[in-house]
Amino acid sequence: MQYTIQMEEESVVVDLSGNLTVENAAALKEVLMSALSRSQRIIVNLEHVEDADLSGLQLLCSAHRISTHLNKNVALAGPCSETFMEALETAGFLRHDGCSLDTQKTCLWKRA
Amino acid sequence: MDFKKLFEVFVEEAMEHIENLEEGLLQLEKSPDDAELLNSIFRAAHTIKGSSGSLGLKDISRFTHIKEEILDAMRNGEIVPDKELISILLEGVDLLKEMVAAVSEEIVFDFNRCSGVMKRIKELLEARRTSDPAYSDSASTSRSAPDRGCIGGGRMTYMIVFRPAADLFRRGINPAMILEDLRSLGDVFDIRTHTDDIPFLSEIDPESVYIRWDLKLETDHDESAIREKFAFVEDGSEILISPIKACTGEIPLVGQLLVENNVVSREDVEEALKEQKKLGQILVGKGKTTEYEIEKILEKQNAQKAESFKKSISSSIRVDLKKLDNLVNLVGEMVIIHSMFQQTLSGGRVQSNVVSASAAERCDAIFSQLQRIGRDIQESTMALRMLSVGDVFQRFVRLVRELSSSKGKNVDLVISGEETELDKGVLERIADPLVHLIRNAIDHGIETPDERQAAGKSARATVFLRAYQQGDAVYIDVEDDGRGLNKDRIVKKALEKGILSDAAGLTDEQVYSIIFLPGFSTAEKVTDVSGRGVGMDVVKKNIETFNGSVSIKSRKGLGVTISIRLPLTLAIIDGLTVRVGSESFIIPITSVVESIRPSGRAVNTIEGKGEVVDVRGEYIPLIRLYELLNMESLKKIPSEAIVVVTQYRDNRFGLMVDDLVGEQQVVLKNLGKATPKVKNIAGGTILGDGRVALVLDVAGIVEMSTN
Repeated sequence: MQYTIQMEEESVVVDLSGNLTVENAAALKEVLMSALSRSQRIIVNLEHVEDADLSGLQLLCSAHRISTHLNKNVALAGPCSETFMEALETAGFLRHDGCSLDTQKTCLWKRA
Repeated sequence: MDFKKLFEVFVEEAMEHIENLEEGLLQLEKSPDDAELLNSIFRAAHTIKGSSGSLGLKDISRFTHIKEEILDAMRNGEIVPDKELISILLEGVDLLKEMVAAVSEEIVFDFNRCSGVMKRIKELLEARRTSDPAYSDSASTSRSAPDRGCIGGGRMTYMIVFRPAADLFRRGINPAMILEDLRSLGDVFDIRTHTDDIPFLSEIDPESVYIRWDLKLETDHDESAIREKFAFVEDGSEILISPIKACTGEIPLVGQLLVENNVVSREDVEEALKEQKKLGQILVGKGKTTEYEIEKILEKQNAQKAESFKKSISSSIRVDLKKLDNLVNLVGEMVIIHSMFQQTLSGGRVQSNVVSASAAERCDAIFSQLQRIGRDIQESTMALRMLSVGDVFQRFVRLVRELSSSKGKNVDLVISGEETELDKGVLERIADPLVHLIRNAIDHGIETPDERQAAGKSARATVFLRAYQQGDAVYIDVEDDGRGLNKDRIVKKALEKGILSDAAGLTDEQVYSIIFLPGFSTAEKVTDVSGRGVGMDVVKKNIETFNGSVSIKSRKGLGVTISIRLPLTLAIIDGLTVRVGSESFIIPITSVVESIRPSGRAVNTIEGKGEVVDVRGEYIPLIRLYELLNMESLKKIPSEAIVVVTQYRDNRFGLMVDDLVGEQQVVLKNLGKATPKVKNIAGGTILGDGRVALVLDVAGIVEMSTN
C-alpha cells in the first residue's frame, strides 16, 4: 500500500493506492488516524486502489463513524477503482442507507 | 363410565391433532410432493374422525370424513394439493377447532355453518377428478420429484445470518469469501451488512472482524450444502440458516405446471393472478353490497380468527418425556436415600446407645446427597413448566400468510430461537401481544411491493420473529424491514390529540414510546387489521403484568424492531448475595461480570454523567446502591466498598455495595400484590437463615440510575 497525505486549504486529502488488504491494515489505520487528527474534513481518494478486503472496508467505515461522532467529515474524492468497487460488492457493503451513526447521511457506501 | 372425563381427553387430544393438521397443511403448500407429510396429515384427520365417532360426536366425525376424503385423494395421487385446496382445508380446520371448543365448553355448535365449506370441498374434489386431466397426469410424475414447492424445481429461499468470528483474518480466512462461496450455490440477495459494531478508529483492532451479514439465498441445494460452506469458519462464528416459510412467488400449482410445461410464461401467470379479484371486490362490483359492509364483515372474520387462535392454547401442559423420566429417577433416588438413612440410624443404635462416629459420617454423606437430590427435584419440577416458544411461534406462519395475502403484500416470516424456553403461564399470555405486533408490522410497517421497489428494496418483505435468552431475561423481538416509524408524524398526531403538549427536546426513544400510549394511532385509514389506536397500549399493559418491558428501535426506511423483555420469574436462579447496610440483596449471577475493590483514584466524576469507575482502562458508570435504594450504608467511600460489575445489554455498570456475602441458588418468588410494583426489584427469596432478601432487577436499576 502506498499513500500520500496532502494538506489543502480546509481539508486533508489522503491518496491511497496498492492493496487495502489485511496485511496493510495496521498501516492503513495509522494513515487514517493521522489524517483525522489534521483537519475537520478528510477526503479519501480510492481511484488507484488495486485490491481491498473486508479489513480495509471496516477501517474506512470506522474512520467515517468516528468523524460523525466528532462532527468532522470523511468523504470520497470521486469514483473508486473498479477492483475496489468489486470488493464492496463482494462484501455486500453497497447499501441504501447508512449505519446508525450516519445522521448526516454521508455514508461512503451508498448506492448512487 | 365417566363421560365427562372421556370428553376432556378427547378435546385435549383433538386439539393436538388439529394443531398437527394445521401445521402439516401449511407445510404441504411448500412441498406438495412430500408423501410422508401427507400421510401424517391424513393420520391426524383420521384419528379425529375415529375418536369423535366413538364418542358419538357425529358432526365432528361427519365433517372430518369429508376432509379425509380429499386428503385420501391427494395421497393416492388422484389430485395434487394446491393453494386453493389447502385454503379450503384450512378453513375447515378453523371450523373444526370451534366444534371441538364447543365440546369442551358444553355448548351446541350449529352444524349448518359447515355446509358451505363441505359443499365447496366436494365441488373442488369433483372438478379436479374429472375435468382437469393435467392434475391426474402430473400427479404420478410429481411424486418422484422431491420438494417441488416453487417454480423451477426444488428451489428454496433461506435466510442466513452470519456473524464471523473476530479472529478469522488471523486464521488466514477472508470472511467475505464465504459470501462468494454462497453465490456458487444460487442467488444471494437482500444482503444487509451490519456495521454498527465497528469501533471508532482509535479503538479498532485492524485485523479483527466486526460485522454481521443478513442475507437471503435462493438455491436448489439443501441446508446441509449451505452449512458445508461455513465448515471452516464455524468456530466462534454465529451462523443461522433458516428456510423462509413461503416459496418465492405465490403462484398456485396449476400456474407452476403451466409454466413448467411451457404452456405459458411465468410473467403471463403473474399477470393473470393480478387480475384475480377478491370475493369482496367482486360482490361490490356487482352492486350486491357496499365496501362498508365488506369492511364490517372482514372485521368479524378477524375477530373470529383471533378467537380460534386463543382457543388453540390449552390449559394443560404437554411435557417432554425426558423431563418426566428424569423426575421419576430422582424420586427413585430419594426413596433409596430414605432407606439408607433408616438403615444407618438403626444400625448405629444396635451397636451402642450412642450413634457411632462412622454412622455420623455416613449420615453426613447421606445428607449431602439428599441435598443434591432435593435441588435436582426442585429444578426438574420447575423445568416442567417451561415450554419452548416454537409451538406458539409456529402459529404465526399462518397469520403472516393470511395477512400478507389480504393486504396484497409479499411477506416472509423468519423464525429463530424456537427452542428458547419460557414459563407456560408467560407463554400463554405472550401470544396475544405478539399477534398485535405482527399485525402492526405487516399493516403499518411494511410497504406495498411497489413502494418497496421504488425505495430500492426487494419487493418481498421480511418479518423476523426471534427469541433468545440473555442474562436474567428472555427476549422476543419482532423486527420488520419496512419503512420505519415516522417521527414527525407521531409528534404531529400526539400534539393534535393532546397527548403531548410540547415536543421540544424529546429523544427518538421518547417519541417512539408515544405509540404505546392509549388512544394513539397514526394510520391514515382504519383497516380491519389495525389503526384504531388500541393494540399497542394493550400490548404494553399485557407485558407489564408479568414484569416484562417493551422497547422499540426504528430506522427510517429500514424498519422497526420491537423487543419484549421477559424476566425469568418463577425460577431458581444463581445469585450473588451482597450486603448494603443491614440488608442482604441478591444480584442474578447471569448479570454479574466481576467484582472489584477500586483504588481511590479509580473513581472520578464526569460532569453531567455522574460518577464513573475505571475498570482496567474502561470507564463504567458507578451506581451507589444505597443512594438509589434510599437506605443507610456502612461504607460510603468506593475504595472501602466493593463494586460489582454488571452487564446490561451491551453496557457495563458498577453497582457499589458494602460487602459480598457469597454465591447461592435462590428460588425467585413474586412479591405479590401487597407490595407496589417496584422497577428495580425482580422479586424476593428466603435465605438459609430464614430472612427475606430482595432480588435486584439489574435492568430496572440501570434504567432508574440513568433517569
